[in-house]
Amino acid sequence: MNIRFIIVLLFLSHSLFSQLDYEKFMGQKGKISFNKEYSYANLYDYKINASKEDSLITGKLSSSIPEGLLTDEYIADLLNNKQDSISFEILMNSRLLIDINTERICLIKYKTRSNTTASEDKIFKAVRTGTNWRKLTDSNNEIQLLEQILLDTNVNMLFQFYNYRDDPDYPDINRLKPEIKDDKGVINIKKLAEVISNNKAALSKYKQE
Amino acid sequence: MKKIKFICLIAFLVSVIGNAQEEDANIIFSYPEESEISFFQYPERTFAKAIYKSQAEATNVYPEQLLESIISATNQEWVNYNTLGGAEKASQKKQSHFDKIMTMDKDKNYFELAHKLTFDVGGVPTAIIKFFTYFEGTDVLSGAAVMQFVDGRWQKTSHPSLSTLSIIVMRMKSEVLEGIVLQNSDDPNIMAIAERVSTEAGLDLSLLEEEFGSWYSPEIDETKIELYKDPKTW
Repeated sequence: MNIRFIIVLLFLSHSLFSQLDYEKFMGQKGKISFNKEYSYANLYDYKINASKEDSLITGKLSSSIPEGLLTDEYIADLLNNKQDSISFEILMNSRLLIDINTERICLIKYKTRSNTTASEDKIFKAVRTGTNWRKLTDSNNEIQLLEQILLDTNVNMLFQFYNYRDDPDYPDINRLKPEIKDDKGVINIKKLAEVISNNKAALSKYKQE
Repeated sequence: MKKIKFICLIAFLVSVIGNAQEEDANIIFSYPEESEISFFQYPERTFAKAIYKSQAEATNVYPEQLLESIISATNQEWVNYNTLGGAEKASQKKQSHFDKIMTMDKDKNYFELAHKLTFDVGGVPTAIIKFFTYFEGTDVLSGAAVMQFVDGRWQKTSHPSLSTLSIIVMRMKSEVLEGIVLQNSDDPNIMAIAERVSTEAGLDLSLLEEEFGSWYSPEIDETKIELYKDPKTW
């Protein structure tokens, strides 16, 4: 056999053996528990932080934003509104933007009002894929917990739970804070939802503020 | 002068308005999770080298391929491809970095793999690999890469819940980390740690972080550091 051929063969075999055998890199299994910290969360109060028009929607908004997708849900009612005769409104309360796993989720708490009759509080959900928002129809445990938390509280209450310093005007929240936060002050949403559910009577006065 | 002040004011306003539109994070939430976790110690002399000539070759369907792709990347687009979140999250590399990659001796510049943890975060497969960098002209350095399997390939990322764990993965000796994760060590000291940081739900990450932190604060515990920390790591 030609010596050059043998050398080439040796090089090739060395090259092949240099490739990692990825499928063999599987380990033994155990179990782990941890608190998954969301890398991004933003709470927004339409009534406090925004201009008056933002908290009251009477017309169609661009579908490129979550609020616009919400108006799409009520397009027929909104189109019936005339400049001098408003019969349908969306009353914006608050919004939570949060990155869950690899998606940005938007939860909007709102009511609708037809003439003088207002609905119960509702939650509209949207998800951003790439740069586009779309209505979110699926849910999971985490999103359901967040929906319930938003419905049972308001933005001010959530910040009172989160704030490092206790505000003496909120003694019941101050009392419950240690139950829902870890050493770093991060709020565990599962514990928060439980605490809110178990203390509805004590907390209701703060929700009505 | 007035013109400069005006430009500065405009730049300031644009910056303020821009930041407002960014909607900065203003609250931190977490959610408790449980997952299977696997520990794997690589055989000695397991290297991840710059084996890819183009981004198209780097499918990154295995975690180790991502490390090979990272050390092979010869342009910013490729760096972005390796990073979860793409250009927005990727580190910006200078052309001089890519020039070095293109001209380096691939058998003298590589990663050596030490061990790997694999588990799920919110249903997303996640891995942390401890490695050492071997680059000509520089000291050997230790590192840990956090990566997640998204859109059919492993991508480098940083996760707020895993920053301390990645330091633990990097610093701990393989046999110590294995004993703690799998609770299978013959060493009674390691088993004592494993018991302290575990609950019925398995390894409790916050307890592990607490244990690890206690080696350094309030006082440095030289004995534990010598026993459990890999001396080759920073």
